[in-house]
Amino acid sequence: MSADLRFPSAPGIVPPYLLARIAAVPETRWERAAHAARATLEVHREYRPAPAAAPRIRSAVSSTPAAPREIADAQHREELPGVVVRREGEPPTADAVVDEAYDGLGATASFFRDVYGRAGIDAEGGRLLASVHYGRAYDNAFWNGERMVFGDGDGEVFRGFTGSLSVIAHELAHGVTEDEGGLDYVGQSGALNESLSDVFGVLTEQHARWQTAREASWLVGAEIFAEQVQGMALRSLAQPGTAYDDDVLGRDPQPAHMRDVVVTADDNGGVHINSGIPNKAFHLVATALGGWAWERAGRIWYDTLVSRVLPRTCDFVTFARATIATAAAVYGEVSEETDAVRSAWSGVGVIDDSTG
Amino acid sequence: MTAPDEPDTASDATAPHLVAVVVRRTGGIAGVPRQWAAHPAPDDGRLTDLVARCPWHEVPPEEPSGADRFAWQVTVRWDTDDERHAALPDRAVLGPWRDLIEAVRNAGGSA
Repeated sequence: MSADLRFPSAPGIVPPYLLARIAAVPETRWERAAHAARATLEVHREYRPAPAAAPRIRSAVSSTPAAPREIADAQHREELPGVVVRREGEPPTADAVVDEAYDGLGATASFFRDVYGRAGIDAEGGRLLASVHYGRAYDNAFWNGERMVFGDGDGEVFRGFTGSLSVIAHELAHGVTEDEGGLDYVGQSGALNESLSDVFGVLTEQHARWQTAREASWLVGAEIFAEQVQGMALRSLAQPGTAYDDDVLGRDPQPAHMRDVVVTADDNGGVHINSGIPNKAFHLVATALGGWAWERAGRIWYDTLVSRVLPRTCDFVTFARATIATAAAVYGEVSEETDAVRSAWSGVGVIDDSTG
Repeated sequence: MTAPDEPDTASDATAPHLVAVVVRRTGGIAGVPRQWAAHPAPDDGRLTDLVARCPWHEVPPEEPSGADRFAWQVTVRWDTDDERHAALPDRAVLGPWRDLIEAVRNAGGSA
């Protein structure tokens, strides 16, 4: 193993909540995605939010400011934030990793703004903070409560983590979940927290690539494995448990049904493992409804998250019932959307068909 | 925790000898567990010293927020079959813990 192992710095180095309100900022470089999203909105099925749902959805797309980005270079140390190297509106740098992070955050911010009317992580246009080149051969990307942090990978198992839009969007979505009240990062609530990040991660990518539910890969992190790794991606929402099978990594341990739920003390109680179950439920809803997955399936998940009805300790059953309630409030108790959500949770064994 | 009382000197012939230090890392965005182990020779006191310097009796701080961080477990075994175990959030892996974990990973054995 590498002799370059470094460990994280003490908490408190980063000033607490730096996110500040901002005025309108220059348009992002992601014109195509923004364009595409506006086109989507124009054909969007009639949307009737219930009073309890989506209380924080702001104004129309055109007047919602983008959240400004700020990318720092940790310069291979494990101290945050590092040196700021690119702010919103500044030209590309000579560092591809910095620019990947900048562009990926831009695509994610555009997705949330144009599809759900959300301005950034805090829904108020606060800055999107990221640090790249964290540590040496650091095999991870994470959300530290204030910023997104990306390692370069060891080159043997992982390449850098900024090469994957679904990974960047996954991290940003952790910030959104936290801002919307949070889900305790342990057990089933932690697996839901993970699943929401995977869902919005793949939706961001589908939106940027303009792919329908049928066309999409439903993979998280398809770009980050080194060549010698036997695997497609970190996770598959379409087929949990099939993303990789490798000598070093082992086999993708994700279940797709409650009968296979994994009980473990590892990984905060298997938050990256049992997330396969709600991931598969979302995939079932999205493919049953067809079309752009971010529209109806994604809308139901997003509205459920921002409706603030989820307790921090939310379990799968509570989340399932909340998504069914959202679907019923938005699309009607008797609707193909509500049917799809109920069937999906039943299909993964979270609710009984008769009790849903 | 059933560790012997402060086994802090490798040179003490009556002290239990450290036979294994196992480091397990779980979590991270990939959620893939990795494990490393070191099995020090009886006359190698370096790891014993590193083990003794770790604050085993201090409860690591709660993770206030964040996601996809690594979670660490350190298990130490003596020739008396006594064991010590610590579960550490990523943020708590500093100072002596960091030194110990780095030494085990650099020892190169996968457990």
